[in-house]
Amino acid sequence: MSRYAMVIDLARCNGCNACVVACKVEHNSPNGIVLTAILEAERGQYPQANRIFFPVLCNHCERPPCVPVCPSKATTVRDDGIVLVDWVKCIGCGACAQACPYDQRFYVKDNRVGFPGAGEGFTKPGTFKPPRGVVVKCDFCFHRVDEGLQPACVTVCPTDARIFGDRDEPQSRINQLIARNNAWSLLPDKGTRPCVYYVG
Amino acid sequence: MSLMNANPLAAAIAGEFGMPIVLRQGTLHFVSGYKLQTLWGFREAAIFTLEGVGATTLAGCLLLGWATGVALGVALIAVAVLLLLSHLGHPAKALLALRNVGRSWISNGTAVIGATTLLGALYVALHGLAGLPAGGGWSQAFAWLLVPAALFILVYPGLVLSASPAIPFWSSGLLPVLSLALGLSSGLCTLLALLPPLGVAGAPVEGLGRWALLSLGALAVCLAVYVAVMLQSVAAAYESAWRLLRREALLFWGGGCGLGLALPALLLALTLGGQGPAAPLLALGAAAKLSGDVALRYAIIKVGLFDPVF
Repeated sequence: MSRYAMVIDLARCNGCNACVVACKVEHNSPNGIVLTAILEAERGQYPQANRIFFPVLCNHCERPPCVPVCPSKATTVRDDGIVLVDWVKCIGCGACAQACPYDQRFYVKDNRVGFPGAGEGFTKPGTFKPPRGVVVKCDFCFHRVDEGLQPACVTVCPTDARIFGDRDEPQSRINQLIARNNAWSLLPDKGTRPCVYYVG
Repeated sequence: MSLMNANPLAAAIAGEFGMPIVLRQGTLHFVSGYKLQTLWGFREAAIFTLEGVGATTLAGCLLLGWATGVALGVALIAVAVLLLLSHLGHPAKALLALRNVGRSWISNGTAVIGATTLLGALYVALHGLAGLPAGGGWSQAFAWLLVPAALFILVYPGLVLSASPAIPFWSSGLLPVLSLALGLSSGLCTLLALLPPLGVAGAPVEGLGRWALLSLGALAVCLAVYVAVMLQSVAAAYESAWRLLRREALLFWGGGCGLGLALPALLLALTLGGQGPAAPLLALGAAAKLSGDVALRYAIIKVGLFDPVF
């Protein structure tokens, strides 16, 4: 059985936002909603000033707080650990968005996308435009993963800052990275056991 | 703030992001540090208030054997349900909310509120159409079912909010207790205001008045304890409590404490002491209490802050 996770190497991320664009294209996410984002800030003062880039996305927690609060069982965890929202079942109550400590669930008030025909001809099968009144989030590009591909954000990253893989494979690159680099995750005190790790 | 690591870069990021700052990505702004929830607001506060008043009216009138009041309670809960539907992204799929009974408080609430509305309507129908006397043995059977359900509806708003671990100000076992006190006091004040104009024979106005005063006192204690505990709690909860007391002072002090506590208590005391015309004072007290209830619930929802990720 697989258990998917992602490692983000902060030392490699140069804030190019290719992952953000790829995610938006892949998911046809509505205007104003990005399922992965690069937070950035300036640090220090001239001449020692530099910038910090910090990619964030759904942490696909092992103990996701968004799952038990969902009244319609629209949010589920697959056997491989990917946390998904079923838009057909989602009633749009917003409870999951309030329960997510990482603020990585987005309520779709307006599902208009940037340009007509956006999202057509991309990898994800079927209609992929999220309807209004549901919650959307990163799905680790499960449709690509199921076909043996990497998530879109991982594929396009020019600096190889995002590494996706199977935690249940002891020899996998992701496991080695986590073990060797003292990987850490966000808000560990919340007890959610995130599957997105940071190194670098 | 909560990064657990020995990594110097991670520690630097934690230090850098520890202060609330706005991070920009094109036209999109991300706020590090404390972030206010914006999904729920005034509508949810009004729904919670209606549910509380409806549940208290329903239970109180059932115990008093006043069928018209039961009908009013059911109607208030039904209005709350309709407003609740409008809060959903997909109201047509509302029945799907019953799929997670036992785990999700919203599911549990949907089941109990739905069943209460139906049972309450059945009670009213049996009384109105079949002519069964209110207060009889059959009425007691309904009371056994509906009074516990009404108690659940009173604590339900607190349970829904406290199920959000991401918002420490809500994630507290005190919130259901506060919700109970809020709903009970508002419901009793409303009930008292309704009894004189509807001319309910033998209505125990004085006894209910004392209970209403007692519930207002309990609400004051619950509110003080809740805010005091939050001020001693984790940083995000403290920040929320601080915002409640300062930034939302008009809602909290003016609405929640002034209109929702002090004024109704004063008017009730005057009425019980025979210091003025009962009906207008009670009506004014109920109106103040209801607006204060909405204001306080709205303020509590509005100041909900996510724990900082960094």
